Order: sequence, then structure tokens, then C-alpha cells
Amino acid sequence: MNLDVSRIWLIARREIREKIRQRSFIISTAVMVVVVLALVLAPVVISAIFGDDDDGSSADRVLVVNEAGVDDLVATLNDFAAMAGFGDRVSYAEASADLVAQEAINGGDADGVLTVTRGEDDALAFRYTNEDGELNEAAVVTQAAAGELTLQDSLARLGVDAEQARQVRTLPDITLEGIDGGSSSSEDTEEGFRYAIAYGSALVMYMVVLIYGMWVAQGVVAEKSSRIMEIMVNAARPTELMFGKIIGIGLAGLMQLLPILAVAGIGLYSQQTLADALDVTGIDFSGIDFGAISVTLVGFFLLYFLLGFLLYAALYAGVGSLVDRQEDVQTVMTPMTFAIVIGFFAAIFTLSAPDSMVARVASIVPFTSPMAMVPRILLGDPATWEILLSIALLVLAGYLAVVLAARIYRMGVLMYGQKPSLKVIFQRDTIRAAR
Amino acid sequence: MKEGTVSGMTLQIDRISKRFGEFQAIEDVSFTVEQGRMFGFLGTNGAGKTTTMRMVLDILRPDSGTITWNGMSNRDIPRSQFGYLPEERGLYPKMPVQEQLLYLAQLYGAEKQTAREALDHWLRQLNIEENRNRKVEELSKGNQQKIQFLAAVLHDPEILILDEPFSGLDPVNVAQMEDAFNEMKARGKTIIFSTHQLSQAQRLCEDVAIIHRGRMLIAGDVQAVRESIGVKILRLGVAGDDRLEWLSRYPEVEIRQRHRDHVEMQIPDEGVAQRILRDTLDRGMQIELFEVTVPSLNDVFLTKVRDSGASAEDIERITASTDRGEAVVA
Repeated sequence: MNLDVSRIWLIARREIREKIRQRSFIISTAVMVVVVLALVLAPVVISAIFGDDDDGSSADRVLVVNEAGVDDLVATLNDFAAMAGFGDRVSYAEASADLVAQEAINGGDADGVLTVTRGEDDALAFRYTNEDGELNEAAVVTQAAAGELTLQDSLARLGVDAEQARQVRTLPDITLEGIDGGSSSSEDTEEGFRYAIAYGSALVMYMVVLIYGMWVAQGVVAEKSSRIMEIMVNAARPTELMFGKIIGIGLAGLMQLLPILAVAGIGLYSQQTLADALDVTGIDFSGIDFGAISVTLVGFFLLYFLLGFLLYAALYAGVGSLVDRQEDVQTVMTPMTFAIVIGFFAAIFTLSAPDSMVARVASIVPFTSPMAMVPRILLGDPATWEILLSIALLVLAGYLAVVLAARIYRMGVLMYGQKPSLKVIFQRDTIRAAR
Repeated sequence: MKEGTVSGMTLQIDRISKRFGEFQAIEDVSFTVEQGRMFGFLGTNGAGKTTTMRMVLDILRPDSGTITWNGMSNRDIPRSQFGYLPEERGLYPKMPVQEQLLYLAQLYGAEKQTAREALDHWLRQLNIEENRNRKVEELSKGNQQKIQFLAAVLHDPEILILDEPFSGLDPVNVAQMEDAFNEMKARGKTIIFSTHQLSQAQRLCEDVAIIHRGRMLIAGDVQAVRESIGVKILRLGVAGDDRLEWLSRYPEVEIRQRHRDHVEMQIPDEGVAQRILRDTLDRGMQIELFEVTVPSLNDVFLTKVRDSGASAEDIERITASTDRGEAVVA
């Protein structure tokens, strides 16, 4: 088989031109861009509208009246809040001695006022005032900080030097552990994001195959029902026609997909900016770390994306060649759709157990691997040979699918209104081989 | 054209057979088409014309027999050497004419610029220039068919295979298409076209082959084919007597068809015609038409089918599907 690349490209270009000229293509692309952008930014906007209507600043502001004359009081308080993990939620600021707590709180200058005095026994005394005397976050943090300050002050008064005091002061190292074995740490957000990316890649693959695969099938049926097929198989090799058609529609699909993905990416990226602009508090949008997407990963995604599309599109083309009219397309597509849904489920399963036997098999078998391997690379630990085998099998399956589709297409020319039997498809000399 | 005379470029179809399941579509068919000739492939619907043409194009493969062009198997001939107008017309309905034709020509391997020049020429020639940028689906049937013809010729192929190129065309379009055929022939192209209108083949072709139920009845030079059944046709029109019942005195005369103003009969030779002429004059009748010709392809076809042992219904069917109502060809 020797294929003429320039002819394949000629065929592909026609497919692209025909597709992007359609009004439905332009409209659906525009609609999807808008919908995706809306979906990405909606959580931020919704929080802005329905979220806690705070005083505008993201942290509770506590004014401190230092009547006791403690050194570096405000700095110590802020250090403590930061150490305890509340640095961005509670902040302390110095206030003059004549501050009236009630006015400061009612006037919106402060969420709470802390007055530090020294009692008759020379020990520190704390008075915390807020709007309703509720033990809210700032109050709890302040209470804990007060305990720390008292300890530190007592040690100082007992003659412990600053260095020793700092050692005593060091907060205990507590690790929180869930019973599922996962630990609550800063890696958690990245893990969550990897999970989201894995899910997204499987979902995009699934949608692409379903939508653009259907385009391929419709294109084939259109050629059949317009009867141009007989000219086409005379002018070019059916395999060239198949490759051209799949590549062309794949590229047209990319022209639709890329703007959508770009908008989704930009949307995610600007969630935090938008949240800041809208003064949204309570929800943290900054966890999306694009550093989790490596170049290698993008490479794998594209590779599986292209090969997977080739395989499925070829099958769609082959199945499309079996029918004569657009109305019949849906009927014959049902088994195809079923296969794709199974592939998607395999990918979803991979998300929860990336190195289980099911996931390993799914990531190697050609029909599920386009959707299952990328999640596995992200979340699990596939062996190199598994990846190589998976790619090799996918290339082989894709190529065979194209050749088979070309044969069925070829057959379709001569079989209007007939059901081509498997026997005829594989018969060698009945018709010219799909060259 | 004699068998075995392979001079210059020829398309040689040698004893091909093709069976679809139980149905023997083509049986032992042979014929030769020389380069630069116009070859008519004749027969009724279902005779095997399309199947044979598809085998020449290597879309279908014969069960046995060979097809060669200048000694080379048709499987090895570059696609660009063939131009094909299929019986089932097919173009991209939503694609503009020029874009579509240039695309197809390039697919066959033609240079875009060359194809564009050819396109300009043919659009003018077929009088459809104004349709250059219209979508195919917006064109009339006749114009669509012209576009279909252009799809077969723009890449400048050596062999044109045209399946029923005239069906559905009005007389003006038929004339334009015939001109186009003659132009391609003048350029040295080999043209094979099928038709069930035998009179048209007689007018256009140098060579014909008549196929019936998958078997070749006769093939060769048109004149030779017409003379092959060894009879003459006499057309006699006499004023005031449209029945000419007295012709029954001549047992060798076979009345073929009674027209409004003349009777068409088959006679063994010229001598009989002379006797009938004398007889008519002796009876003092006024002759309005007296014509002796070789049989038309239609006559040959009917005779051959009858000789091949076809049933009465078969012949009835053929008569209905071939040249019914056609003007008498002198």
C-alpha cells in the first residue's frame, strides 16, 4: 500500500473547508465557548451574589489596645495567627489607648477590639470585644493567642531568656490523618487538581469521539447518498479517502475544541482574579495550579487523543458505510456509542483505582486506552512497557480500523440497498482491494 | 475491427465473466476498442453494461478473463488515465461547481492551473459559464449532468468511460454533449459510452458492441454490424394506401413496422426491392417514399436477440425500451 500524502491532505482540506463553512459549525462553536466560560466563572459569580456579605475585607480585623506595654505585641499576635494557619483570616493592628471599642466596631473600623492590661498580680489580662459577644473565629484565635502571650510573659518574668522562651513557645507538630489514609496537607489541592485534569481529559476524549466521530459517519453517508462515492473510489484509494476524511474532520474538530479549551483554561486561571475583584470570600479559588500540567502530560494527552480519534473515527466511517441514508445512521451507531460509553466508564474507574487490574487492562486495550491511559499516567504509576504497549496496540488498531473502514466504504459503492455481509467484506477478489 | 489486430493503443477486453451469487452477470465477453475511437456499448437495462464498465475501471474484478490497455493490465493503469461518468450521478450537492471540479481534477492528479484552464474552456463550450460559482444542488438536471461530464474530463484522461451520458438530457443538451464527445475524440481520446438509444450510437459511434443478458451478441465497426445480418430494409410509402396488403404476395418480405405514412419491411436483397418498385409503378400508385438501407442497429439488435432464443415477452420488453417512437434514420 503506498499512500499519496498530498492527496490525503487535499481530501482533508476539503473536509475542513466544508465543515467550517457550515453555519451550524460556527454557531455551535460560539455557543459552546460561551457556555464553557459561563460554567467556569459561574461559581465565582454565584458566591459573589449569594456568599457571606462581609465588610469587604477578607480578614477579620482586630484592633489592639496595648495598655500593658508588651513588646512587639501586635507582631507577636500576627505571627501566632499565621502559625496557626489563620494568617489570612484574622489580622491584628495597633490602636491608640483612647479607642472606644463600641465606636470602632459599629463604625466598621474593626471586627473586634483586644485590650491588654496588667493586673494587680502583674499577670496579663485580656478583654476582647466584638459585635455580639459570639465566640467567632477571630475570638477563638485571639483566645489561643492570649494563652500563648501569657505563657511567654510569665516565662520572661520568671527569668527565662528569649531563646529558651522561643523553644518552649514552638507549636506542637500535629498531623491530621483521615481513616482513608489520605493526609490533609498542602499536596491535597494539587492531588485534587490532578484528579480534575484526569477526569477532564477522559471527558474531552469521550465528547470528541462521540461528536466528531458522528461527523465522520455523517460525511461518509452523505457521500454515499449523493453517490459521489463511485467517482471518489475511482479517483483516489479508499484508504486515502478514509485518512483524508478522518484527518480533515479531526482538524475541523480541533478548530472547534481549541477555542473552547482555551476559554476554559483562561476562565479557570482568572477565577481568583475575578473573585478578588468581586470581593468574594469563603471560597478559595487559588488551588488551581497549572504547574501540575507538564509538557510530557500534554504530549501524552495529544498522542492518545489523536490515535484514539483515528481509531474511533475509522470505526464510525466503517459503520457509516453500511447505511445509505442519514436517517439510518443513528440506528447503526448504537453499538459504537455503547463501546465508547464503556471506554468512558473504564476511565472513570481508573480515576478511583488507577493501578488496579481493571485500570491496567483498560489502559492497554485499544478501545479503552485513549480514555483510560492519560488518567492513569496522572494518578497512578504505569510501567513504561505498559505505556509503550498501549501506544503500539492503539497505532495498530487504528491502522487496521482505517483499512477495514476503507474496505467497507469501497464495498458500499456496489451495495446500495444491500446489507454487506462479513464474507463479502473479507472476500479478496470480488472487488478491487481497498488499495 | 478484426480479432487479433492489435495495432497502436488498444483496450482489450478478453473473455471476462462475472457472477454475483447465483446471477451470471457477464459471461465470456470480449471486445476491443482502439485508441481514438468512439465505442458504443449497447444493450437493455440489466444487460451487463454497467458491470462491464466497472470491471474496465477496476472497480469490480472479473471472476475470469483479462482487461488490458496497450498490453498493460487495467489494475496497473494510473487512475488519472480514466475519466468516469457513473450511471448513478454523484457530486457534492453543496459544493460550488468550480471548487468541486478543480478538487476532483486534483484528486486525479491534475495540476490546479491546468485543470482551471480546462475548466474555463469547457464551461464556455457547454454554455454553462454562469454556473461557475453556484452550488451543484442549485443547477438543473441537465446542467448537473454537464458538470458530471466535466468531472470525468478535466484531468485530461486517455480513456473515457461514460455510463448512459445522454439519459435525461433534452435535445439541445444532447447536441452540446455530442459536440463535446466529438471534441474529445478529435483530441485522440478513447471513448466508451453505454446507451440504450441505438439510433444515437449509430449516429455517433464508429464501433459498437451489443450485449444482452450478460452475453456479447455482436461487436465491431458500425457498418459491419449493420450488414452482419445480411438483409436490407425497405421503406415504402404510397399515397392513398397505408396498408399495402398486396405485399403478402412476396413471401420473402417480412413486414417489420407499419408507420402512419409508410411501411417498413425486411428484404433479403436489393433485387426484391427492384421488383416491388416495379410492381408499385405497374399498379399506377404514387410513391411518396422509397428507401433501401442496411438495417439500423435497432434492427440488428432485435434480430440478434430473436436469434439468441429470447422469449416473446423479452422481445416485447426490448422493443419498448430501445428506440420506440424514434424518427426514421435515413
